Amino acid sequence: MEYISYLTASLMLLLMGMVFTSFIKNKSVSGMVSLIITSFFSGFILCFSLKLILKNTVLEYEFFSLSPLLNSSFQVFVDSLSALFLIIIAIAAFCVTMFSWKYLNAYKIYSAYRFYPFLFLLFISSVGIVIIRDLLFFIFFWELMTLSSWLLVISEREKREALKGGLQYFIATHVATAFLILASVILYSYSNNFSFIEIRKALSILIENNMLLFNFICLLIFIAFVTKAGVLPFGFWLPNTYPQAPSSASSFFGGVMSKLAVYALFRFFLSVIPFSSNTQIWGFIIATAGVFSIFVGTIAALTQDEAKRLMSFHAIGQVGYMLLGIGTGLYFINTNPFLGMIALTGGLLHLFNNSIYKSLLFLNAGAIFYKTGTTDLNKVSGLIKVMPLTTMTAIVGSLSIAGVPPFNGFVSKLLIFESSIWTAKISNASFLIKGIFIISGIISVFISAITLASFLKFVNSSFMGKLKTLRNDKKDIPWTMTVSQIMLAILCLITGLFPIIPLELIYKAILSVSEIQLPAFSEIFISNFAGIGINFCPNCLYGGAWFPIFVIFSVLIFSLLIFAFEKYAQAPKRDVDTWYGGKEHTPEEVTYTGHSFYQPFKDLVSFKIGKIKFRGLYPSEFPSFKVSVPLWIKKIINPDEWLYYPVANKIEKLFNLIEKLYDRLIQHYTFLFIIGIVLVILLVFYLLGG
Amino acid sequence: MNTSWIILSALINIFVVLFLSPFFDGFTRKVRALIQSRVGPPPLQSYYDILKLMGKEDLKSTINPLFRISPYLSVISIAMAALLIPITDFNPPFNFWGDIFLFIYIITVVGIAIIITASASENPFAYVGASRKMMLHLSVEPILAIALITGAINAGSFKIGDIVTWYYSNGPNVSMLLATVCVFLSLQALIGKIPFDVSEAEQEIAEGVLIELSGPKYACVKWANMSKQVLFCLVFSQIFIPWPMTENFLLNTIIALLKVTIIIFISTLIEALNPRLRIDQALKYNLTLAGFSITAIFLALLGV
Repeated sequence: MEYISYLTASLMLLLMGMVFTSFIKNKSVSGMVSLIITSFFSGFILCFSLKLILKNTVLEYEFFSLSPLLNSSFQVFVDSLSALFLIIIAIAAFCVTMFSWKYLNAYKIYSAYRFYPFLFLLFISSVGIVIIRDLLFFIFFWELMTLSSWLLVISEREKREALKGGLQYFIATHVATAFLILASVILYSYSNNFSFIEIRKALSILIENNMLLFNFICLLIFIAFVTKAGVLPFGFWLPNTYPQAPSSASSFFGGVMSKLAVYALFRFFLSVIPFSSNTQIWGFIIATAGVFSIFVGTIAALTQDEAKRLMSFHAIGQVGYMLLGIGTGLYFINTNPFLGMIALTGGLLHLFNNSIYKSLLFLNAGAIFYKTGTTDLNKVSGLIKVMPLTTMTAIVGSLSIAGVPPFNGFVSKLLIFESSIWTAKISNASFLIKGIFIISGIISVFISAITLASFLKFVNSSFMGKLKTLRNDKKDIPWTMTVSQIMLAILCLITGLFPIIPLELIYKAILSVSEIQLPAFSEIFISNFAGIGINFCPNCLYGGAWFPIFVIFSVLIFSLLIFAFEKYAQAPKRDVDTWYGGKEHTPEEVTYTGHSFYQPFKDLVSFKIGKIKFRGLYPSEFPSFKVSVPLWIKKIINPDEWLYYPVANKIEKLFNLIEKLYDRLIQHYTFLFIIGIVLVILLVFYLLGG
Repeated sequence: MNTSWIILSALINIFVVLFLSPFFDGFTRKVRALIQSRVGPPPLQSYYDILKLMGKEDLKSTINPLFRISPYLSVISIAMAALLIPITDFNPPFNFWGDIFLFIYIITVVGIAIIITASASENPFAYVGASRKMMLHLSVEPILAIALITGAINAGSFKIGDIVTWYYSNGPNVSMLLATVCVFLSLQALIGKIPFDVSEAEQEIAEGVLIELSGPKYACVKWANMSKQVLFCLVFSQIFIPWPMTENFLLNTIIALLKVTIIIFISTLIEALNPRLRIDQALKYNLTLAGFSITAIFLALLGV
């Protein structure tokens, strides 16, 4: 019972925050209020979910029911998977709110009540999606999330791009929601109840009777969630939309919102839709969609020159990694549970790590915006001199997203690579399937080099080089912004150095969801004090363990060694100017801008098909195409032409005529007046005499 | 597999890769001089170069702290990568369930260290070099990855030690031979020597990434580059041509050194007799080779 009070308290806090901030116009007051409220919320939620996971319990509670009207109820169900996502939401929400406090001052025309209430609404709906076990309320929260994030996207509505991006987002996600509603209506007609349990029962009947309809429902659900997650080709809206919101909101979008779509996919395909031979097919489809968006999304990211747009493309690519892991897992979980579990764990671990470093990177972009007023990589450089701590966190984030050891992306990417390549050893899979999975693995290895390249471009062109003019010449950014970035960077490092902590949480989460018999944690992952090892099959030899902590030790020892050498040699030091090959130049003349990076490679992946230009495999310019409609349709759909204007013109003419009567000299008026009076008198006499 | 063996073999690895590398560099310079009908420097000249540079004046073109740190990182990461190569035995001193990927990532860190040094130096030439280095790296990395994955599929393990053991006992098959050929063809690009030294091209961009370096930092990066040559020659000779291997660790080390000498000799011949490629040509060459090497994976899947 105490669990539910934690949950209601935190939801009440968020509601309170939403109401309070709607009335406060001052940015810093509003920011402080929301920071206080969010820190309490995060504390409650972290406490609650960690307790839940550690005690291995499940929270079930029904708030109210729509029973006489519809078979649906507000049913809260928090298992370890939901608790895992609650942890993610709590961390991201706290850092995002802390960052926003001072960050919003970067926007001149921007009042606080355009931002905070919607942010709180977004938090509420995120929590709602995770804890609910009823399709109707799930859709309600889903729609609430879409709406609040849309309001955040268009919150800077003076900008034309924001409105355009917002419109794309609105249309794309609502089409997706329509798919979801269609699926739910079909399901309701079979199950007569919106609860996930009843739906599962209905679906298991449906598998036996009507395979086609079952697959159609799966397709609807798949498209609905994949559109929100931003998987190509359904995620075309994402790079135009995410950069338009204020950076702290984009950070929550990239770190949590697109991950919630992956959560929904995971929840539906693993626990709502029963296991069958179809699970394999859908696993394969999910994995292929993932690889496609890894490949195209990340290569397109390499060609971007705008920091937040670059990160948005990476959001597409990174979601692809998760889907690859989850898809491989779904494909093999029945036939080969060891491999399936490793792939699923890899996918979810990548999700967990991604939510940390993705939030961090968007916050870095926000810090750049705060300092310089732009996030265009061609216009900023040398920021390490004014914000060294932000630079360090940006480097940590970049190395994490590229999966460089010992940061946190490494282990999760390793699990995804290995599980997709290990399919070669599975005897009962066909040659083609194995080939596709292995090629996916190789593509993801190659793409992680591209990820690194594009983030080195981000770091090199924004933080390194000569310092350019700044918007405000204070030395560093406000401490709240720095602290929130540092917290996330430290989390990146901790989860990288002790991967066993998130791994165990995630393993419990998967076990709590799935209903088939799965191997225990200790059978697959061999863990000791600081390292992990894995087994790919029940009788495999133990293959050693990955000790990230020792990497740090050796790095320290070697650095000491070399620094000692430098001190021993006692080389004299001198400050000099940059050498431009003997000529004198101003730094502006010779800057190497972000656009120039990797130009030959960009040329290699840019081409033209017909009239559509592809930059980095991604269509960048569409020819302005015109739809030719027959003339009579145009006439019909334009009633102004044939109804309103003619009538209006006639009436106008009539009034003009009447007006002309009065448009005379005053003598005419008196003349008419006298004639009128004479006529009236004559009439009166005639009547009286008559 | 006891602790003393691990320590001994780790020390041997680091000794071979880090402390013998200037000697191999001197050997390269001697061979190149002989080809070009010069006398050339003495074989120990590269040691003298490094020691001399250690004491030279350290010019700082920027206050960026990363400029100070990252040259050292390149040497450190080469040393870490050296610990994953089997020299004394079939098994390297350190191994775990994913060390082929760890190896690839560690050699990436070498690149990152040099790229960050270059861009922190604020020189536009260095930026050009850094951009080229990254492109070269991302085009050549897949070849090595695919070759190692071919080995992993054949051996059924992601450990370099297991791949070498399998290759030694089962002999070459078609897929592994193909992978070996691909790695050999990309060896110059992995090392970063002519015809693939586009990131340090002296005539075009004035040593590119190295332009602002001087004193101890230059010594470190130079040392890292020398060690990289030995490291990748060792990768080729120890993983893709593991024969002959004996029980005695000292004999194994000597055999490895001999093999490395031969490969460095061949690589120097290629270096001395070829012109430099442009970056777009190098990219196309590497990516074509990577696409071609995927054949090896399918052959390995078929079991040949």
